[in-house]
Amino acid sequence: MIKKESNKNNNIVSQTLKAIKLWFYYRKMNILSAIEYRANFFLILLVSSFEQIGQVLLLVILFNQIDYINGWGFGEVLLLSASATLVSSIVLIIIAGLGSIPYEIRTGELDILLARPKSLYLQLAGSRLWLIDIGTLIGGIIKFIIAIVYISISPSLIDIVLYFIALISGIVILIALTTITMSITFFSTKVRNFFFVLYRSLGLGEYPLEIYGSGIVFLLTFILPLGFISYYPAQALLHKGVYSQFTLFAPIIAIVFSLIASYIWSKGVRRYTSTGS
Amino acid sequence: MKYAKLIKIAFLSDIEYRIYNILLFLLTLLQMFILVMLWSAIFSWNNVETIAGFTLSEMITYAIVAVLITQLWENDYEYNLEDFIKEGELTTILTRPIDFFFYAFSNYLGENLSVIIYSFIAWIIAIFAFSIHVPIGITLLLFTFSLLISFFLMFTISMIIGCFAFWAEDIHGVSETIRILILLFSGSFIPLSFFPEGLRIIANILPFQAMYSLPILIYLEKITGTDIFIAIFIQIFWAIVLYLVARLFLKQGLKRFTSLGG
Repeated sequence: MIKKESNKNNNIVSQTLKAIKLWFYYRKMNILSAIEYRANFFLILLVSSFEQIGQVLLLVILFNQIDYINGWGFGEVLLLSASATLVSSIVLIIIAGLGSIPYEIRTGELDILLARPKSLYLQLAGSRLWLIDIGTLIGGIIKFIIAIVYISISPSLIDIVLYFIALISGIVILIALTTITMSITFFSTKVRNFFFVLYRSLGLGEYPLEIYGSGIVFLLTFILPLGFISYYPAQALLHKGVYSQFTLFAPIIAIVFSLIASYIWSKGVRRYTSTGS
Repeated sequence: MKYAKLIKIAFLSDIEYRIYNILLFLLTLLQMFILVMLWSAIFSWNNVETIAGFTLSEMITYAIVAVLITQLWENDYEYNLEDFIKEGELTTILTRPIDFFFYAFSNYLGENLSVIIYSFIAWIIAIFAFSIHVPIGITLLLFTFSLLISFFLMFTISMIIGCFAFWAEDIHGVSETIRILILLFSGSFIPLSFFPEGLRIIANILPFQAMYSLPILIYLEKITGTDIFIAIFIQIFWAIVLYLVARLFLKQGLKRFTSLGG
């Protein structure tokens, strides 16, 4: 029965469309169930976007006392922070459910998902949506607008296109890194949530990479490419860092890390299913 | 004695997650490194000796001690409390001859024991790697005492937030609100002396400076002499007030919990 269906739809395009449709269906359900508690829904959106504005306020206070961080002014540092916020909140909106893999394993929920005739990854990614991430995205957009207005740059069309390509690559890279991180869960029985560890290290991208020296820049470009979630996208608009030429590598890094992630993920799932039952 | 057992149980179950704890430790070192690099860059680019009364080495020390204190705080303990209440574990606890407040505190202490040990190691590393300031003698002792109060304050704040789970469907809203206030008014990112007058006054009347700013300033010997005792007095004052608030919330919450549970 299942086989027949997958034979009918082995066309990649229609399968992708189906997956996207299913994902939107999950999100619709998430939002509908969250909006049941209306006051709570709006409170969380409001508060989590305010948190981003609080960060802007802290930067304002800091830049009241100083002029530059390595030649980067207030608006430019804010643009870095805004890019990081945009990328990480969008990624979390897309795949928030991956963060609960340890929980799903512990409660046996994962075995139920495995038994269903749909992709495990899609089911997990779709299973959860945190309202905080939507609020953070709103806050990130506000931060981005403040930064652009403050810097008062008028980027060319090419710069804008490049920025969005870099931003989308950043999103893909962070999804890949999250997937790799969460795949570890399948290999070890005693694992708490690495999700949190990964997202806390994103703070690395909130300041101009030059301050860390070239060794760390190399690390954050090719090994643990967190530079692509804030520093390199911002370069597309600012053209100011020493390493701005690496921005063009963003799509390549995104493809490479996606391939690595999908390999490790399928290994992890196979390992889980063979030991689990 | 039963509380010592509870601490031990929480500690033992926490150290099961060895890889996770080591990663958190590495993350702490990474955060310290980021802040050292950041402040060095700021001081050298702006070509200044002091910013808002802080020299570079004082600023680095401030930032590192703040990171270490954050390790103790950033475990989102209010969500554990929410689980206790929502998942029904509270029912089991209530049937035992144990006070829930101290049950939770023992649990909190046990879960944080390894973090305390890791933070201590990270502190030793920072002393050698970044040559941060180390207070000696009586100041170190007073700082330790101040830190203990700060640790207790963090727990009471989590407890107050967690108690909202008795009434609300979801405590994220309350939790995030408190987090913003802490982010802005505790001095966890930049010292409060950076702040303009108006905001500084607000920070001074809120309890959050007692979590970060006061202990760190004692550590840095920016607060000296009798002012240390005033600072510790402020901390104790907030510890008592927040303890009483947490108690009140817990009492009302439990009343509701037991009457609903039937």
